Amino acid sequence: MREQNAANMKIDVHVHTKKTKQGDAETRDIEPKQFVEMIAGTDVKIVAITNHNVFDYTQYAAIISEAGQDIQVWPGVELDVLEGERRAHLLVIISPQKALLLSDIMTKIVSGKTPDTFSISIEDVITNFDHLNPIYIAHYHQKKPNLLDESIEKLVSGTKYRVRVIKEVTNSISAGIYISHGHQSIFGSDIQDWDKYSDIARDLPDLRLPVESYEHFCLLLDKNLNAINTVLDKKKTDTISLRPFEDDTELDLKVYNDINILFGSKGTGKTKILNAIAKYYRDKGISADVFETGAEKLGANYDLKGKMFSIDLNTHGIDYCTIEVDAVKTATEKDITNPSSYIQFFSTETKNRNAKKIKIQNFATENLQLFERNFSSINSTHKKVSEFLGFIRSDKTLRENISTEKIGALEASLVAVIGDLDGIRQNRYVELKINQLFNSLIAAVKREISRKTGAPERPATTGFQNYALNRIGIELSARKIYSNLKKEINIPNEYVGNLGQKGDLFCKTDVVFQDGYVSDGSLAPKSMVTKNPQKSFSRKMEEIISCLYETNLFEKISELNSIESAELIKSLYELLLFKRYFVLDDKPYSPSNGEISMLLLHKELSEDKDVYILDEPEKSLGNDYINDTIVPLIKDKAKIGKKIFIATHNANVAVRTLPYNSIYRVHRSDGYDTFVGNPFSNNLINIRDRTDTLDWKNISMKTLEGGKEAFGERGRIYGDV
Amino acid sequence: MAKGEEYMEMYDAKMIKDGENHHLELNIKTATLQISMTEDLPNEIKAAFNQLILRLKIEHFNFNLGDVDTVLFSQIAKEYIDQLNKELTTIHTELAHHKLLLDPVKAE
Repeated sequence: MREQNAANMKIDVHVHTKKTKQGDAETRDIEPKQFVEMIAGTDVKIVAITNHNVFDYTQYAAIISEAGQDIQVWPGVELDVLEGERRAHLLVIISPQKALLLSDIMTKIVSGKTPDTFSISIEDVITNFDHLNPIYIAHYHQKKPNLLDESIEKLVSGTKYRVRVIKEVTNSISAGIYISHGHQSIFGSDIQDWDKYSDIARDLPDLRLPVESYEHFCLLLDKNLNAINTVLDKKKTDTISLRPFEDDTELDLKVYNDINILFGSKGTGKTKILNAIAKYYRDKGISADVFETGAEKLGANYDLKGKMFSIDLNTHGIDYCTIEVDAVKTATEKDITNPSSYIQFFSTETKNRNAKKIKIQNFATENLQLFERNFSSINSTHKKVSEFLGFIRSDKTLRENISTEKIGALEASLVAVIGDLDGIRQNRYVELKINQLFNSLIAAVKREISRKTGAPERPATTGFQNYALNRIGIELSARKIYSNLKKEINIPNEYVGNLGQKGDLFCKTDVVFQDGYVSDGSLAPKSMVTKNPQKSFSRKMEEIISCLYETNLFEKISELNSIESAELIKSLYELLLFKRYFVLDDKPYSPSNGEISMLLLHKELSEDKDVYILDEPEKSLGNDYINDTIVPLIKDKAKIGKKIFIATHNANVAVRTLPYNSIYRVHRSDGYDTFVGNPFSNNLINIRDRTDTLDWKNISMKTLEGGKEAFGERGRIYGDV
Repeated sequence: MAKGEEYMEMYDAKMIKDGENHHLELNIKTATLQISMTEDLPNEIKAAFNQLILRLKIEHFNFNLGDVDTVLFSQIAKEYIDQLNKELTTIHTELAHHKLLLDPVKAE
């Protein structure tokens, strides 16, 4: 027997490896090596070869030899069964140990006929095959050509292995429905074209329990308790002690790293047990909360009010413009030199001969801006290259992965570059200092001459330079603010979930700057600054830009500072507006309560946790969504060993997830009782009295759907699926 | 003009006498600016300076001072225009550095 994990273990009970009948497609032919490669490329771990009226032992042996231990290949045959005038198909699958016997039987019964002309009655099937301990799988209902119910009943009555008569349907949806109506159902690929097998295999049935062999599979079908418990015991379990109720009664539960279903009538304490389970794990430091659905929770989960929403403008290529906002707000006019200064100087003739000899007083001062900029730029470059050299010398990853020679060459180049930059930097520094000293010297000489002679100081400048530099500075700041205000901010949509045929729902965040022209009332300010001051501030900034070289510039700046809350606007962040909302096809959408439930549950199950605790996840949800989306998600979590606790009244959740653990709560005349069991053994055992047992299926039907009638009703509703 | 040397427009500057008052008249392409030399009128000077900055965005220019009849105002005007020319060049360089120059064809 081989050890296998049921995670992603699929079974295909119906494959063809050769064209045996004239109607068979040639694309059913496959060589043993290719067959094994094809199966190995999928999650199928068990495959039954069921060619039409033929069992080719030679091919089977070759396949077994190729397959090794990774794939179980069960021998079988698809028989043409003739009941009256009606022809139908029946799969007979047996143990690999009896493959040779199957070959002999097929040779004998088909003798003298071709696969096209061969047929067999139900009675002869039983006579010829029942001693091989087979599994019978009959084409049923929509799976053509199908056996009628009376023919299947004849097979069930005649065989020693009643539970091993299974109905083959067309797909997983049909199988699910038949199973929930109490029929043993399965489906296989019935492969027509091996080139398409990889795609088809994705939809084949998963095995909930790991199956180690054909014999093991039969025991599980027989609901053999030992076999089931042996499998279940391989799954990790905990025994948890809870005190969920007010009377402090202790409840010890064995729980699986798998699906644990809690069911029972309303008022039997299921929610309290879930809360106690959550507390139990939280006390151990494991994140665990009871998930409950609710319309108001979706908005909170996605922070539609934006309480937690934050944005870093730099990541969107936007400057906060903190320095620039401050520069504009605090800008003041620069004075110019009045003409009277010139008149005063030139009207006063300096008598002092020595003073006249000092020519330096007539020199014009130099523009230091240029020298400062030159030095600053070379200094910045020097710093960056030096930092890069430091990085090269200190980075461990670089040293581990790049050769010493290459690093040495890079270092040498950088050292040379830094050497050159050093020289230039020194020269520019000297230039700057010379000119600073030169200007200081002129100013000092003028001041001293004026002081010694009593004559007015010679004007050094008309004031135009400082005046213009000041205005240019304001222009640069204002334009930078304005250009950043006009930038777009794109926040990626956040995936919320799928709304079935309607499509995917996203949470969209619109973020814009109030540039003075935004009038969408649904946008809210991101900061403490309210919308009107935001708008006024941006409008005024625009006015400032329009009169940068007008005499009223500083009136506009003064008006800017007078705006309400202007003192709170320190950067562009204070001018942000935003809104968060749901979109479908990029159009605003308000999900219904049912859709909200779907989305919340999907989100909960999408999060990576060790423990999931769900209280009535089916609330407001349609059965289609539960079956198609939620049940597979829950099963996926179980496969990877997560603990899932679900209190439910829904059969689709409680039954179709095939839980390792079903916990049934019931109120009887002597108080509350707790039963545990599972669908594989089909029983529930009272944890206080192990002799007190219940039928899992009956209780599930009764409690979850309100009785067998409801199941029957569902069957009629579904009709010919 | 030598290769690589930027072209510089030269505009006329005159010292105008109006009775007791003297003012500098600066003739740039689009306007005639006045700066009183006998009265301190800072706002008038600032308005003229604003016009000079706007013109500097379009082109680099300096002023040529014409003859001045009185010695005192000749000295004052020469000093003022010399300093102003140097400052105009500095500011044009700054405007270019900050990419604030305008395309002359579009700006005119």
